[in-house]
Amino acid sequence: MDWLRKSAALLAIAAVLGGLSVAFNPAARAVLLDAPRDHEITVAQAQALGAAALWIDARSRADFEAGHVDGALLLNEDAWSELLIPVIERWQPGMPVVVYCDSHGCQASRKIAERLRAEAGVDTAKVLRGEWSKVGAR
Amino acid sequence: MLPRRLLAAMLFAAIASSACLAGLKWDNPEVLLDLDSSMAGGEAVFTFVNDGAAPVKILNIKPGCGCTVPTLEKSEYAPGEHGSLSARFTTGERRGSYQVPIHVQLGDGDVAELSLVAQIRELVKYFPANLVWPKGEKRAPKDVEFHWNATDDVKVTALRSVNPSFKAELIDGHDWNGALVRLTPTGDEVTGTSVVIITTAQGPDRRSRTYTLVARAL
Repeated sequence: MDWLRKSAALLAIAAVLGGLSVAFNPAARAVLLDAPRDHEITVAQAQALGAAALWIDARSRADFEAGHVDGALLLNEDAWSELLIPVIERWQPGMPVVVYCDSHGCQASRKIAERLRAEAGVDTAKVLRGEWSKVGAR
Repeated sequence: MLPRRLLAAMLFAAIASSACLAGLKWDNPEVLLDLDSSMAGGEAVFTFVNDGAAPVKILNIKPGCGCTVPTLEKSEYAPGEHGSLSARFTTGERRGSYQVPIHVQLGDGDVAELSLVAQIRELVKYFPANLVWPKGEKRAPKDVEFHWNATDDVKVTALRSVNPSFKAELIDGHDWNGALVRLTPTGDEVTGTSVVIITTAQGPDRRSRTYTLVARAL
């Protein structure tokens, strides 16, 4: 049974080291905790889509007018019906869609992406995980 | 014994000083707004008291959504003074549940975290919202049923198809409380998309509430 005890001890040490790594190493934390979930896309993945993607800005009109991802369309729930029209006119089946908002407790991009998938058949809509301002020129 | 007494004194001093510097104490840091789609919005009121020994200044209030606008009676509160922060949530074309964080930045560097939870009950249910005519399929009419309770005050006031290649019409003679919307591509050769907007008037204030359908002929 000695091998069993040693294996358990090794596993425990590995678990502690793993926990410490997540707690203190930002890179490990980024990999484990910031990995994109379902219907999410990272800034790097979104940038890799290039001009093929349709970008949707889910913030208020005032925020949009102050600055947005180059070529993005405004779509929010203040005026969903009217703002949806240019999005549907532009989108083609299969075209990737990246929805973003501010990072500060922002739920808007998630809501907009959900509604695009459920109500408009835009099944490629994903939420940007990260800062839209880091997207840069496309 | 001396270190223990010293430790106790230090602990007491720490607790006493933290109480003195406690600043704003919030009575209700989370407020639930129970709304329905006939309502333009609602107001959440967060009340507080300055239970510290020094005046507290509120420097900035930042809601996590453009849908919420906070207002404050004044920015500085004396020790023992009560106050309230109001946050107006606008329904707009939102539906479902929203959790809006509100960050209140205080002059002493502290930040209070408040939460407004708005639940919007939709009076109108409809299905499907997305209609597709696959390639090669005959461009026959497709119907969408809109349902609402007889006790809810809802009326369709307008129906518009953005793309004239898709005809949208209200059909009478259905046996439920609500409306029947029929979409028809105007010819077998039609391809493309349209957004169809159904406008309703809801509630005693006849609030305008819109619903969208997406029609796609491939």
